[in-house]
Amino acid sequence: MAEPNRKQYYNRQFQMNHCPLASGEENVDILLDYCNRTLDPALVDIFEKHMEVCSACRAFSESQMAVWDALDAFEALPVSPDFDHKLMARIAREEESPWRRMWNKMTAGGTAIWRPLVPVAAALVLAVGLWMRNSGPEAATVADSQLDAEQVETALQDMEMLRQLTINEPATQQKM
Amino acid sequence: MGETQPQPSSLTGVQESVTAALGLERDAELMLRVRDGCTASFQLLLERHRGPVVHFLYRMVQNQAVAEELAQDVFLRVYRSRATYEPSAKFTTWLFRIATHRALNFIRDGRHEKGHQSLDDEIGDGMARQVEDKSSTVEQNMLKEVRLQEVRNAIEALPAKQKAAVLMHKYQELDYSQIAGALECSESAVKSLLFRAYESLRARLAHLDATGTKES
Amino acid sequence: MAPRWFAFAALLLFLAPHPSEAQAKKGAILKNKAARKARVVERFNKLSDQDRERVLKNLPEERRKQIEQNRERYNKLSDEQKKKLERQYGNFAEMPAEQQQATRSAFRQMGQMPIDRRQAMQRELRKLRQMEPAARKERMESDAYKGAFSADEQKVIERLSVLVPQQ
Repeated sequence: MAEPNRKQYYNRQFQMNHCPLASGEENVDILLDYCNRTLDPALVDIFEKHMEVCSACRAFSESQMAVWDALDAFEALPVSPDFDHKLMARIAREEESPWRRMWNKMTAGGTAIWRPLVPVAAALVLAVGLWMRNSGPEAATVADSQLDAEQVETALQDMEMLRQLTINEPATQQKM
Repeated sequence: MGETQPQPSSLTGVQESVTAALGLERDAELMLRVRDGCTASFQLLLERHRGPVVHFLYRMVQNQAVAEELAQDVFLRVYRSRATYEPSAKFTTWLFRIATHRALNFIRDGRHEKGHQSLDDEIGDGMARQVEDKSSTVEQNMLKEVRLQEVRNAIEALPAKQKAAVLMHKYQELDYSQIAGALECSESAVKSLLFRAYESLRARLAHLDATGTKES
Repeated sequence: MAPRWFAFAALLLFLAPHPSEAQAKKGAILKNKAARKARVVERFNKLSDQDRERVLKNLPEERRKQIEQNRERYNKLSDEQKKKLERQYGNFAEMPAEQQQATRSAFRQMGQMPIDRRQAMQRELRKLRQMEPAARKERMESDAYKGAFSADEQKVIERLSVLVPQQ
């Protein structure tokens, strides 16, 4: 959103009493930018006026600013003085490798020796694709044996949301 | 991508004018020089980005030795990609996309935990270096250490993608579109990740007041 | 050079599926993907305690606990409810990622609202779910509905109403 439009948008939103906290996560940037002091000064005025009447935003800002400051404690350590030396040595070793030299020639050389290989590579991709098409269920079974923790976590969270909303429909929601 | 080009040692006149016309950022310009075989430009890129990349990775994996090793891989990857580099996205976004991939793979492969255990001494040493302040009293240093440990634990407890988003937002000061580019998702997904991450951090760190002491 | 490219193009044409076939195939792939996603919980549930531990070993304690709680809640459902939930989840997994995210976000927003408002919204969602699409639209445009819910609440209800079960 261009800045003037954005200003008009928020102005209208706040006048209509649409709180950025309650109007969805897509507007959360205004709160975060305010708390890390990077919000456009024109928007700061609008938001501060809104905060005068919105206790939720006030509370959010206070705790978010405290977290923002607390995170400053996690300073980074200086980079080792031999970092560049080690990296350059790795690069030099790679450059000496015959495989790497061949690759460099193929990708950057003026002779374009890789061009004849394109149809061969395309045919290979096709063959692999066809093979996967014909052996789909088996491939899926192999993949099934490996579960990813975050995938399981998200699936269970989503199912819990759907359970609360569509199955049991209890009067109170549990915190997700 | 695959178009072959002549390899002058510096930017040709045509390239320079194209660069100027497109208003290419300095990093992209340096990278184009690296593509054309200028090693000094790679050194310049390294000087500009070495710190931010290592610091980001350090906070991701919470181990300085591992972070530097991963950062070496990142810059090696940048160097290897020089021949096919096209300045289609902001250089920083591209660089952090590589760094994020590297860190997420490392965490996903579970090498994270192993490294953490075997390098405990180093972590302790790093912490001590971070909190040690000769002008402070022993008690103040201890409080700082407790506070730092809590912040580290709170960040460590975040899901990997949320952690990457917060670190890029808070410490690297990347904007939402850059974070979205690095994480290969939409800006609204980034806002959602950040909202959830800061929500968890607020819950875990709410008891710390601004001076670094615990509220009773 | 040319005959080689002709042969290659002919091979591609021969192998390429018919457009309608491709469309159907795309739909089937999406459905398969959603079904596979829906089976994640079932598969996770069937693992031994040690294997479940192994899958979750890299997650912090808090998140492991939360996963275990959600799994227990799922296991308490009757077989019929589980089937219904899996169907629901399959439909949810087929939605575009952005819409899924917006739904999750609306759900979290509802969780932060006062309990009486939450109850009123759940009652309304229940009512809307039993309506035909035209009646639902009419209800959501009515003054009674607009008077009963604030603009933010209406937005949340609207977002969550996409979860209307397929009968």
